[in-house]
Amino acid sequence: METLISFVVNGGVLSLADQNIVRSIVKMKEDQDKILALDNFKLLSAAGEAGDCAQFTEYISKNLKLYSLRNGYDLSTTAAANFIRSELAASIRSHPYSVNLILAGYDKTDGPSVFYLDYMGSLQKLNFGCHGYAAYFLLGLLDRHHQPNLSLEDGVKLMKMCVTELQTRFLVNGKYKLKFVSKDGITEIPFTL
Amino acid sequence: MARRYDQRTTIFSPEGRVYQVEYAMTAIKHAGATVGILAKDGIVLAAEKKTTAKLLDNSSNISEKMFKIDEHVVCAVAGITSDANILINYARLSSQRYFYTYQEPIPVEQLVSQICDTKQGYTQYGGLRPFGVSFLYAGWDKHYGFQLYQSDPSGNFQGWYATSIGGENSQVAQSVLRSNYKSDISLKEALQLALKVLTKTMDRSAINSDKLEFSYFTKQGDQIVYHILNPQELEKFIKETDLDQEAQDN
Repeated sequence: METLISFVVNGGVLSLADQNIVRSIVKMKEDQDKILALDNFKLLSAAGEAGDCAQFTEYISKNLKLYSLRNGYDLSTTAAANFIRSELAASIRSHPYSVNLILAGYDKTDGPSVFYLDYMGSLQKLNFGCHGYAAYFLLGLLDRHHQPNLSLEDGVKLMKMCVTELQTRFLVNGKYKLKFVSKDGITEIPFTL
Repeated sequence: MARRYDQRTTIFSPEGRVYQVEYAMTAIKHAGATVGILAKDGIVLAAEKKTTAKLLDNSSNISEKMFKIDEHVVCAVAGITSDANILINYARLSSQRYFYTYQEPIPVEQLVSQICDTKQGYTQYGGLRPFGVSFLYAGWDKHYGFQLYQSDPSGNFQGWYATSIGGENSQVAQSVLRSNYKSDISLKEALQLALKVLTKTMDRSAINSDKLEFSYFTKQGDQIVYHILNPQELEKFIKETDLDQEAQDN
């Protein structure tokens, strides 16, 4: 039922996530932040078992913090993505975490990038990525309208287009949170249609 | 009871020294000198070969004390080579482990720091002797570019612009480097400076391709290049450099 979308725009990445915590047929919460800032230039969106998401994303963020304290610089987005992948791949063979992730980041050398990860330990570098049922509704739309050199305003417009589509056809709805990572760091963009 | 405090590696003497570590450093003095110079476009590692014998077959390994750890890091050894082999094996493993986790080459300082942690362990946990090796590490990474590090048996390491390890005349080597090093030195000049250092620390008659090892580490475009001079190249380089020096003297 959860929705995670991230895509590359000119000079940064936009990440959107729904804010619902659902258990069975009950909506427990509708103001959850599912996009964690791992450091000043990385956003990790997580969907799946709520407890696993909290546990695993905290584990990842503390490990990245430890790396930066030890070495005096942060891990690159690519390196972080591969680290997360290897942790997921190791955990599914002993203590599986049921989490699906999208890592969005900005690097001085590599620019903006989006990585799609799932609970089985697959990793894909993409220009746009979706998790959850949203993917069924939105991949076609993003195929048609997304370009990596979209301006930030056009990117936000495309996010709104995605959410409009979900509100038209998808059974479940609620509030959404939108964040942007660029060379200036992470900002939250107020999101209303 | 003069030797009370040097039997164990892990015990301080009353003056606050750990003798076994100091003995290991003395062992390194008996090895041939190794010089490292950081240039603006690369790094030079040069060494004196001590084990030259007429009947020694060197055809299988061109280098006695220069080792490639990974595509972006190499090291030169002074001290007990068999001890060094253990650490080099560990360094190669560490480097590949980092790559396996992050799919990125290990930053040079992290690699050096890991090897030094191992070295330090042998000065603190008892029953064994420390590694009798100093290393010079030459490497490149995206964080700090070209880097030259030195490590010793105690597990200390530092970054240097130009330094030397091993050799009986290390004071001479250091002073030649100090007075000749420029911050914008080119790789070619660094090679010549390394030769100059070795001519001052070694017997002048021993300056030939049998007694020397020269290598350099540089970048050609995005490609990292590590080259060990073969005997012909080395002989040619020595000849050319000697001529240059005479020209300067005149």
